[in-house]
Amino acid sequence: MNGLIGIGQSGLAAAYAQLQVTGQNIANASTAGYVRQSTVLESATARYTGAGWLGRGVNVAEIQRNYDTFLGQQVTRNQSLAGGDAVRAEMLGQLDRLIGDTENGLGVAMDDFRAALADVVNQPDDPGTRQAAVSRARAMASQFRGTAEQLEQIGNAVDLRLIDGAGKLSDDLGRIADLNRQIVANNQAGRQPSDLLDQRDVLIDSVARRMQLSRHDQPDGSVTLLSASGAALVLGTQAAKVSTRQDPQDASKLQVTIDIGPSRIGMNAAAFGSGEMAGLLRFRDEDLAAAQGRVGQLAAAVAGAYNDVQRQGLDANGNPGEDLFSIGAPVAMPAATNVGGATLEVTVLDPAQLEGADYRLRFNGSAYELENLADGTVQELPALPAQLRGLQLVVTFGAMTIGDSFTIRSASQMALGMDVAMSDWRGLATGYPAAVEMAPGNTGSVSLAGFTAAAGDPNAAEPVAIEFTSPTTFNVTGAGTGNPTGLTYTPGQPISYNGWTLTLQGTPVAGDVVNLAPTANPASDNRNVRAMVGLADQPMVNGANFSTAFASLLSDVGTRTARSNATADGSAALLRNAENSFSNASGVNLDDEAARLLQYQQAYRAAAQVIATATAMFDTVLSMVRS
Amino acid sequence: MKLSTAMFAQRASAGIQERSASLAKLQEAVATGRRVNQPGDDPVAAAEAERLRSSRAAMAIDRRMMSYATSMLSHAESALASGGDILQTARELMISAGNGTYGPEDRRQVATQLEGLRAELLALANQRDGTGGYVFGGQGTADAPFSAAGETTFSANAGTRMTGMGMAFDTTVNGARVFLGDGATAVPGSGSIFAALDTVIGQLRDPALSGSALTAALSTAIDTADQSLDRILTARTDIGEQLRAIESRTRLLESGDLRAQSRISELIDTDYAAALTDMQSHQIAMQAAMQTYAQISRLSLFDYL
Repeated sequence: MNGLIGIGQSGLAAAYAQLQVTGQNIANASTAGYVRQSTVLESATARYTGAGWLGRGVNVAEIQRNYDTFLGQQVTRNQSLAGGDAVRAEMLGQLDRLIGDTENGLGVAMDDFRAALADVVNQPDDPGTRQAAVSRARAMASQFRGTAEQLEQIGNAVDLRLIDGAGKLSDDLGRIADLNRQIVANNQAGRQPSDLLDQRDVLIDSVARRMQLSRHDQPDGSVTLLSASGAALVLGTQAAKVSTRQDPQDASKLQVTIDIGPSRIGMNAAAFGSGEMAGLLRFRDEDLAAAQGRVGQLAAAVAGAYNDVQRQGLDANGNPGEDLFSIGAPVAMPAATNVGGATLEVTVLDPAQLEGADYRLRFNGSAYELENLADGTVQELPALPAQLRGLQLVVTFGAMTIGDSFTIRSASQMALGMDVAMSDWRGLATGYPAAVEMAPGNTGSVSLAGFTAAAGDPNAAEPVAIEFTSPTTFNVTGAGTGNPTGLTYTPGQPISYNGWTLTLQGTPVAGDVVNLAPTANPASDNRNVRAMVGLADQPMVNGANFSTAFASLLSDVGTRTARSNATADGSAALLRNAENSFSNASGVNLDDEAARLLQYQQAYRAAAQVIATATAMFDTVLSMVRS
Repeated sequence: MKLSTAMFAQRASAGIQERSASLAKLQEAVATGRRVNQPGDDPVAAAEAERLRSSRAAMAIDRRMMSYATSMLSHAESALASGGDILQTARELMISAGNGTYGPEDRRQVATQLEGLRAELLALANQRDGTGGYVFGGQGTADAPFSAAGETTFSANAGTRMTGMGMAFDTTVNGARVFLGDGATAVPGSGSIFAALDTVIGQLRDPALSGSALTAALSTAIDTADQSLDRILTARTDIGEQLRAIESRTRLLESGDLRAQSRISELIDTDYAAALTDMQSHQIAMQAAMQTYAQISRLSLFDYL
């Protein structure tokens, strides 16, 4: 009867353990990271009797943690993908809203300036129209500057999130290492405390949300975490730190590093693989940089184009036009690791040729490599100084040695420094230096078909006479022309001297003269400002006109946003599926637990009944002895 | 598939959140009337709409220029008409001065009348255009284009000031050509009307002048008046042509603007019928999600223990 009581007791104990575990499951049904536990029973070793093996009850073999390693790791992996995609989509959404505000955007500012110039075309003598044009120019410049500044602010916000993320990562990694220590210390015959494992898994997923990692479980219960690039994040009780510093290659940028002991490993998006850090870096170095480059490129092209036309004309004081706009200058920053001590100077040669990109110049010992940081393409330059992509690169001091590099902030600087260089509305160069007039006594039908001026020729306003010696020949006289004679006249063919170009039509008679005279009233002349109004239709930005260039900036940012939204939706769905599968295997379902509660309660009552039966039997025997 | 209870609640709330996010997006589209509120909503449409917006701005600029040219040219047209009237009167006076019954005193009176007409004509030639410029200002001048004292000369560049983007139209008249004959084909009488009037006024005041010398002097002046009238007529015809061209260009710009506007609307405006239908189906789905969640989560085995 001892045996029966023993069996009953073991059953009671087993059912109690099962009820305890179920209670724990129910209590933790909504604890984040809690993995369902279950009780594993085994029958106690039987005793041999002559009749065979007689059972001795039940033992609690194990409290099992229902963790599915494969599904768990899938969740971890998908955390990284979803984290990176979500943060990139979120940041792009901000950029999209900024650039996409087309009602108050760059496009409207450019068109408003153009409209103000058109009023100057109509009324060049009116100081009011000129003042309005200059103030619209100022508004446009400040719109460019404001947009560039807002882009910088988005960049700063990204940097703050990187710093924040690095801090959280360091924290989490430290806690994981600490949990490793506790888990190893509490390792009893290969069994580790579930709650510590749960906590550690939550932390690992939190790290994975920020950066891709690979996880390696060790026999002693500790876990080793490696970054996508292979750096040891957690090794036993050792944790790496994640921190930020000024990028040694590029002083204007924040770099995230993984610090293991005294060594600091610089991490870029590729080294992070996926996760929020990678998403933020990709956004900053690809999406934001592309937008900054395009805005700068547009600013430089707009400023350059108006300045060029401005220089070919005369202002209200009769002086050659001076620059209307100023823009930011390119900046060349030496890498902190440079040993040659060279100084690089970068200047803009042709704003219309500028690409919307920044560059890195490296010296490989025999040649210079110029990397376009926006698309990663590399061009080899045999020597410096070099002129390319609208820029001129000159080493002004010292020399670069092998491995030395410079980061060249080109397009991204242009809009930041955009302003109106002209202070006085009289400076608007609305007139051409010279005008074409048909001489009073002409008897033929020759007339003017077209006339354009160009900048920079000292003889642009010199009087020139084109005298026809027959209906098909003419002589030219005037300073700067070389006084050629006997030239052939073909109607519609351009005649160019001293920077200007004119075309004539009709049939002249010998003795007819076409005069190029200095402009009598430059302040009342509107021919140059008409050329300014026409600029917006010309291919001025790498082959596109202003409006098309701005529209393609919109479509670029929009496309990136739409694509990243779709990617983020996809990876969020994958994460959701992984979490569902994992929770299916490892989560707590209260209905399940309720059923088990009933089941174990019954088992408990049954075991108690076994003991009661044994007691009754014992009483029976006792009463038999008594009687 | 069995879900953990916590996950079930989380999924349900995530599902409802997603639905409400789509509903908010639809609500935005209905409230703003725009389907594309930022480029990411439809990058291709956003870019095309921006290009169209800019081309509408350009068309508006061009129309503004056209309307300015119209007003300037109408102004010029009426100035030329008065110029023609003045010259016509002068011409008739000169013809009457050739009448054999006119004595020296009569001719002096004609000269005085002609002097008045000349002053009138000069004032007309220096007429302002009402926007700070001069109707006959050629390529542009800040001061009166024709000198008042002595021989009448033209101080601006001969030619016209123009406005317009695609096509350019005159906003001034080439005064040098109309009044001085500059750039016109040289024929007898094609010179300056002011010089001709000055000469004939001087001659009419000369009591010694009579007979064939008088006839010759008057005929030279009348020739010049005729040539000037001819040039005025040519200028008016030219203005008429330009006004017609501006009218048809303005119509073209207006219809282009309308086309661009309706295209923009196609690209970015909300299709209300579709949006409202979508909204309804989203609402139904959201209601269903909420109801089923509420009902299913009410089912618990614990209720039966």
